[in-house]
Amino acid sequence: MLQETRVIMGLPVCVAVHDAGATADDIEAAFAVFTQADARFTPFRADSELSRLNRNQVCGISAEMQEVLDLAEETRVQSGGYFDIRRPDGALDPCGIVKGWAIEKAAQALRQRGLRDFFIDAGGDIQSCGLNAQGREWRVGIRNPFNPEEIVKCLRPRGAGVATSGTYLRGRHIYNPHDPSAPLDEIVSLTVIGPDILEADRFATACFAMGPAGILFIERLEGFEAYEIDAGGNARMTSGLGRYLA
Amino acid sequence: MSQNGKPPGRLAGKLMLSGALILASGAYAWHEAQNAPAAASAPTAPVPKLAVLPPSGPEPQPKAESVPEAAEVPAQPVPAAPNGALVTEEKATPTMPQTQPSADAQSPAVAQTQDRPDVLASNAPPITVPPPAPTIAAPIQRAGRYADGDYTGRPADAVWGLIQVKVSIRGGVITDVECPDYPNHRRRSIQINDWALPMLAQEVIAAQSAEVDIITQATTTSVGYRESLANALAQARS
Repeated sequence: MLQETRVIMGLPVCVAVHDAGATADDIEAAFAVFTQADARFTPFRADSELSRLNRNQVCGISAEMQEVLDLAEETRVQSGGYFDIRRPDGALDPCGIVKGWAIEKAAQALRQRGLRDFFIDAGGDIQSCGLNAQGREWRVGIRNPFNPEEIVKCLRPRGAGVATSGTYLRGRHIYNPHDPSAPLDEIVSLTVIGPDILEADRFATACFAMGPAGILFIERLEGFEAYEIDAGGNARMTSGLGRYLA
Repeated sequence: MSQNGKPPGRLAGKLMLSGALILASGAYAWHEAQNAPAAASAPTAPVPKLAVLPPSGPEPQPKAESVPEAAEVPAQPVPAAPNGALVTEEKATPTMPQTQPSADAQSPAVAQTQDRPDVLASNAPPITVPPPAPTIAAPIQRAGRYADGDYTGRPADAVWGLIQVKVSIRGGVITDVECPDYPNHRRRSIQINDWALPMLAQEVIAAQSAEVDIITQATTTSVGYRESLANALAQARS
């Protein structure tokens, strides 16, 4: 069993591989996807492709950039404009999609190396494949947005991607679940299960921005399920979530 | 994020939400100031510099804070202070009652008046709030890497809206990071009200067995978050 965490793209990225015979090179291959994505898409470095693109200093863009921009545009249209990588100043900021995209690419890299039992967790967004070290299905817990010590739901994704969007920072002072005056329709956490982590991540981001309507959007989206927690500590779940509950 | 399904109440909801944020963070800061040993000596306790932003104002200048909103303060029934108290003369002293954060509907007026005695005095003479002079006039203390106080970073774009981060420094170290202004401006054209809404199963969240392999959670790591955070920390250094 190999497992390692590094901070890349400002996120803790954890790669764990449980296949017999997995090597440090396999872990390295997964991390390489993130470091390359960071170098290409970071807005913090003037020489990244994204920064050059935003300065109109590129003639032709990479296949990776094109793929991400296409995905972003697709998500923008699908979400009715709630997801948009174009900032008010006109610059492109694809951070909202690059994380899920990089996790998916890293998972593909591991599969191409013949690995089957692994997970990749980047900042709480997870792609798991195969089985865990005990030979059982991977179990993914949804963290309580009001109490980081607690898990409030346990999922068995069985190869699906799991992404959570929300704002845990607010829960601490204002949106106490025991405070009855909290606005109850305020959503603090939306966990989306999708066909893969890229799909789950982009719809988690877009649908969280929709507020209480987000989970209804997911309900109508084939192949997706969701678990939503509001400021009052109440949860709603889509009708097909049961098949993922552990 | 909450008012999507209820357009008529959206503005009011936002204002109430802002008020709740303001009061609760203010009360929290007072509470912290009382409990923190370094801040226990009232004259030097840092005044909570609240971030009072217009809910939909993507104004990139944090100093623009609450002046426009403050004009509305006199219209609020100020005396209806929850938990007693932030507006009465006696209690506007450094010996604050230990109020719990509360999201009372009247809280915007209370929190703002408590924080902006100058504006209140000019607009609402009947209510005299002595400025907590000892705290406002207190020199900035430097006990660590950052100067004590509350710093609000400039609003920055976080893909789905503007985000703004507030950092609290006590004893020279970061004691709290909040998002007083969180993305909820981008309201576009999803016609959710036209849909036949399904009935979704509901439950009250409860702790489950912690026997999991991995944990999914939200991360606030957007560019906007980091930008605003960096800006707030830069202020704390200067």
